[in-house]
Amino acid sequence: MKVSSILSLSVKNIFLKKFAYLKVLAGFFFAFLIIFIVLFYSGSLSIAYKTYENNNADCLHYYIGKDVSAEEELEIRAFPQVKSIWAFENVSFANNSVINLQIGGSAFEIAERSFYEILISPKSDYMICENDEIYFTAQTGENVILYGTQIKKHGDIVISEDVLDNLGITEREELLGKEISFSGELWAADGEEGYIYNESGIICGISNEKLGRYSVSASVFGFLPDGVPAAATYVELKSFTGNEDFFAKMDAMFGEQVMHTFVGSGILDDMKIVEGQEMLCNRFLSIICTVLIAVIAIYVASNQYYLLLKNSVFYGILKANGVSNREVFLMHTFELAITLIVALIIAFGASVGLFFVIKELFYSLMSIDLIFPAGAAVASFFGFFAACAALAVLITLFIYVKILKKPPVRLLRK
Amino acid sequence: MIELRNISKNYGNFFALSGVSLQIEDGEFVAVVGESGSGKSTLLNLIGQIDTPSDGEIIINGKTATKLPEKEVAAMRNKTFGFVFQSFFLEPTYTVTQNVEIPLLLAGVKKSARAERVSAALQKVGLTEKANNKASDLSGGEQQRVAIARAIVNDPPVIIADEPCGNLDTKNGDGVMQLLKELNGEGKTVLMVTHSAEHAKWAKRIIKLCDGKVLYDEGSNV
Repeated sequence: MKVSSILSLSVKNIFLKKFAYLKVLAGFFFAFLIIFIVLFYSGSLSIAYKTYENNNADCLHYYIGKDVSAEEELEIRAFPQVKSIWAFENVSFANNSVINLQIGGSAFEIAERSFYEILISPKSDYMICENDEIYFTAQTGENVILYGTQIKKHGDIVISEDVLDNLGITEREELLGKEISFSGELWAADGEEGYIYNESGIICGISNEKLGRYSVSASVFGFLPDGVPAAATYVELKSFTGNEDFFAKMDAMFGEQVMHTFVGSGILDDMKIVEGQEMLCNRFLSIICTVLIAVIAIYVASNQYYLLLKNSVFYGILKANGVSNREVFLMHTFELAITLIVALIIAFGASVGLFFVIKELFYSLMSIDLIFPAGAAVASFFGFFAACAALAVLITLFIYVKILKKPPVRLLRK
Repeated sequence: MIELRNISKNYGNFFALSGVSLQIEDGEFVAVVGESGSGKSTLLNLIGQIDTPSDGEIIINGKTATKLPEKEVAAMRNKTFGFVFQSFFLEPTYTVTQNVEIPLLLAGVKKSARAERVSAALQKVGLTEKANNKASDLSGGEQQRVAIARAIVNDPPVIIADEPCGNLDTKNGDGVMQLLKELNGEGKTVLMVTHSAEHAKWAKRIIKLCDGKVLYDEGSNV
């Protein structure tokens, strides 16, 4: 018999015994479905984690308020977590910063000093957000607000200790509740017109002098007095985590000239959730896979026994009518492989559909946007496809040695 | 011609057949009789190459079947023998036509020729009108006639029938015997195992087995 004839007979046998084969197919289908769903979910979390880290790692960089030397740059580049370094020359956007500052009716002038002095006002939608506090405390072990409170209402203003030090103001708690006004022009680079501000309010709190160096820059309104260096260097990092050695080294090398600019620990928290889910899912996956392999093995064995009972007389008759051992081996392999592969294809389609249902569910309930792991899905499909073919051959080989190889009369007695 | 030389078949210490030698000429109608466990079915299974002997040689049309590779033995079964069993061994989910055409499919006969030959075989056993019925929907007598149609559709020279009437009532049993006689009349060799003395009388030659040995062989041409 030609192989094509054997295949045709196998297909015909499956169709004519569709109910028996449907039972087998259903078992394989559910097994594949569960495996695919777990794989997709795990893959999706993995992608989410990596994407989140990669995208947001771009936001994590160090601002060094000077042009670093070639030797210093070599030292920086020696850290594996450094993604890139670039320098800005002729930074001159702080020439005209605060032009008028009044606290409690007294006028002050900010002396040339550093670049991270800070005033915080809600008027410009700037405030210390929770993420800043968490990140700051995690990094420094200190509180953000040293005296008074966070901004609570319109008109509240937080002033940094750094500003007070700069102005020579030693009182701290006495300043709380006093009026403050400031006006000037910020970020006027190279003589261009900058941001004109004119704000006034009540001092509600005094922030830690280090806030400027550790805050998330986007949510804190800082101003740069004269004295900002004419050059700056940015060091972009690859990852949020595992940078402690780098932090320590930068602080040691550049001291106050280093400014952390960071998107905030809220992202770290999110990442921890995603990472935790990924770990949980992977553990779950490994347990599920182990259980599934055992269940599938038992299921395959029982199904094969059932199918064999159903088919042994048929194979006996085929052999009595001239089918050789090789041909009956091929026929059984084809039947099993077809069942497995059809189950695989249906399960793959169903699991993709189910994944998107789960994705919608996740998004609507938890605002977690799962990304379909297309690459992993395709790879797992073809991996399982090959595994199905191999499984069909292996199972048939076992059945062949135990049963199919025997003379036809032995099959007819089953 | 079929020749058995000193054939034995044992299962451990039990000898189903012990040193049996026989010759069966083309066109004979042989009934093998004997008590249960005497080795009747074993003898037919060995002749039909659906079982292998423990010892001895079986020569079929000049070829020593016991020395042939498995693939050639399978081909020999397809071309030389048609089998009819007591339990019919039809595929219940297949139609009558699908059951009957199995030997033709295995022989690689083309679809148009298959339809023609299946139709002829069903006509011979009187089941043309049931061609599209499921095998499981037929009566026992009809199922055995389908089994006979399957046995003859490939036009094998030898029909091996193991208790063909064992599961049938007298009327249906006589019908099957009539069919076998007709096939023998057309020149086919018919080898039949039976418990029934009445059915054995339809044969020209009767071989009686007892404890795996030939007790007598009546009507032999050899």
